[in-house]
Amino acid sequence: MAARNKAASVRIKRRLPPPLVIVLIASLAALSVAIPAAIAQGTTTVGTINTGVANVSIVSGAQNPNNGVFYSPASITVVIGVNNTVVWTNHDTTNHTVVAVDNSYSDTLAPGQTFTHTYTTAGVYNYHCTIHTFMMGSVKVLAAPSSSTTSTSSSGGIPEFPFEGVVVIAVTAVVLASYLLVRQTRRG
Amino acid sequence: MDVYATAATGMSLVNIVLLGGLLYLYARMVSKTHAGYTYGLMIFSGLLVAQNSGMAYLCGFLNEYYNWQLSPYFAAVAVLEFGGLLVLLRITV
Repeated sequence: MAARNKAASVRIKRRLPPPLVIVLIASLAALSVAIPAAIAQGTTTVGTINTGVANVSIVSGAQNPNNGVFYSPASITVVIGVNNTVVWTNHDTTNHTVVAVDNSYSDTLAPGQTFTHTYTTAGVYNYHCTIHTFMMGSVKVLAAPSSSTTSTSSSGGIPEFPFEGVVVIAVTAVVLASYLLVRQTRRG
Repeated sequence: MDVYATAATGMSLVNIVLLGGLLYLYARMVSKTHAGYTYGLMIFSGLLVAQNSGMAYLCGFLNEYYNWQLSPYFAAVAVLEFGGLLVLLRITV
């Protein structure tokens, strides 16, 4: 049995093409998938991501100074062009306010109401509730990615994943190999 | 893009190519021997392709969205992986 396996192994080794040829074939296959994908994504606008919002909840019981959590999350980071619109929702049973420390925006929220604000300038913005002064939060706003990094960043959003084809092939190989392995194991 | 992110991206792309070659070799072996161990190697290689694709995307396209201080670690992982794959390719072919 061992001798047969060894003979089979030797036969396979003899039939294998040189490593350089294998690497070249693999390179061409990978590039044939990656390049069209990269070109295609360079011309695609990232519309859905630009409309992304970040949500902040005024939690139930926020009126109680011992609640521990008031705005959740109390600190968030957003990126201009990606998710620079923040939506506060009052999940408490009483009125709350969202007032910027620099007074650039403010609103009073009844239970269940929402308040939306879009940040257009990078920086750190602190806000608080004027009714319950112990309630404080902050929003860190990051600038949009510069257009010099990649050709795809000029649209202002997160660039699309350019290796979809490669991953699809890899996942297919994994699934196929897993299926065959399980089938072989069951047959014993 | 800093030099480490560039290195990590480049090495990840090279790793994908090497893994493609390994997958091809393993597929040929599977077709002839149907050895369970080779199925396992195919699964291993396929998952590494997915991981390297993610790494190349992260370091090459999203480097403004993560802390740049992580780039040397990403580059180190990619280089170590490259070394391991070279050894694997050497003993396979």
